[in-house]
Amino acid sequence: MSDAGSRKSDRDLQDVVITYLADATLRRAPVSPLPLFPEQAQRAGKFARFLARRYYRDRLARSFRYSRRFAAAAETLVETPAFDVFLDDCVLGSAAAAERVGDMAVDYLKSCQSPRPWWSNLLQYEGLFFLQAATTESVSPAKFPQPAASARCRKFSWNLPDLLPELKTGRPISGSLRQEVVLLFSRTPQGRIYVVEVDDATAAVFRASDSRLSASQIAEAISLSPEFVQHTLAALVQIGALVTSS
Amino acid sequence: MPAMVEGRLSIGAFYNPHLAQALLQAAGAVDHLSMADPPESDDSAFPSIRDHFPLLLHDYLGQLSDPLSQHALARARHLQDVYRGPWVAEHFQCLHTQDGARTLDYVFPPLYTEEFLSRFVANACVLRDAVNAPLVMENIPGFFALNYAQMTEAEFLRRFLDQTGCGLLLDLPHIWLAAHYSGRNAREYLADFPLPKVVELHVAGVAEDRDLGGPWIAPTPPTQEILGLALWVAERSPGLRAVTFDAFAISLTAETLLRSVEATRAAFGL
Repeated sequence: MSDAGSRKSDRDLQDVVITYLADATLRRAPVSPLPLFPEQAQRAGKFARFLARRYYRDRLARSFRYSRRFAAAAETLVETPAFDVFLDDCVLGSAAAAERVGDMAVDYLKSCQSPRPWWSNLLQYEGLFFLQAATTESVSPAKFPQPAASARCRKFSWNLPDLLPELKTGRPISGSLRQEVVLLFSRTPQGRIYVVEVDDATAAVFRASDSRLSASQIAEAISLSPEFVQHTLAALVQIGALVTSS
Repeated sequence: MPAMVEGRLSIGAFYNPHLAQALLQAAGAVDHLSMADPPESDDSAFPSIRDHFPLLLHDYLGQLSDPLSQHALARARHLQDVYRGPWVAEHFQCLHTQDGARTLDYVFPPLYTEEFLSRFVANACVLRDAVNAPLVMENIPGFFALNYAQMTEAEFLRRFLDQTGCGLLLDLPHIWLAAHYSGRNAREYLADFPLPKVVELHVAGVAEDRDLGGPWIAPTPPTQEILGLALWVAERSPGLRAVTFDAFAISLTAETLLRSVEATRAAFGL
């Protein structure tokens, strides 16, 4: 039964199998990376679709936790024809796939009747949380800091960190919560998700970190002290927002 | 913290936080709870749950095809310190690539080869020592066949258990599915499994899945066929101590969970 001619370790072969199941484009390729009999290849394709549907169903349910009180449960998206089309070319765990499903979910829920004034902000928040939950792809660390694959910094017109507990307890949302906040969404390599409120200076450091600038060059570009930039970069790396090899 | 029942099988379920109150009200009907996830920081019911039920660590601790990081070992040790169960469970699975870039995020077995056997043996011993508790390993079904295997699943498990002294957590829906998709009878499929090493059984239902075009595990009550298989295995497993209804899903109702535990108790004459 063994494949004695293979030079790869068995562990490397397992990675080929995992990648094949995760990546629909590989399964459609004219030359398969796996020596599967046609019947087994067909089964592998079914299993891959099953895994992907399950994966996104789970992340949608966990990420769109607040909007479900006012609209359809986001995870019902995976039962729609549009999601079947997505499965045909999805790369499981990639940032692109997560972004696409997150956008689909937000569109899916936008049509909620009698939307509240904070509705689109809430959906944007949950969509970005989902992006963290559904992305396992990592970027290769470069010499200078760069954003992680799923890290995003967005301005909201409602104070989501204060609004979410109100939604959880069912209390009415006061107009006083209409306050601008800038939130940074990230995920560590261990899978811990952070949503942190950041000030303008921190947001500027994050946005200037594009893998081409050193810490001192970032400090110069955005007119902040090198000490502050160095400290902020370290904090952003710690929460998985930035990646660097140095 | 209560201890596992002695002198008879413990019949339990997985902790589903949304069913915490129903579980507390049903204390006595459910002997133990398995923990698939750590309690959330805002899970106000968990302290009571921990006071009322023996807890079994059944989280994802890491894939034993690869060395566990110090972070993963510390996390496992912490969880076991919280639960203090009589054993800790992990799975015969390999679902992440080595660089972490791709994951299947769900049950997927390793290639059954000498290399993987060595890797699992070495890494399981490290985990067992880190948590300072007996380790039981759960079988994982395959859905399609690859040409790389050097031994059967049964041989892989038997040799692993012989080399490590670990116990076997036999997931019967997994066995049923592996048998089904290889065109065999479940009892025939189990013929070479190391049943004397079984410490815990998982039971659950199965349902049709549209992607697979066939059955898969579902958060539904165990079928009579699964319960019959559980009895058949129990007769061959002198070390069996617990049977757990294996379902955790937001869609699971208290009624289904309690009915499933009750059906399992009845099947074992308890």
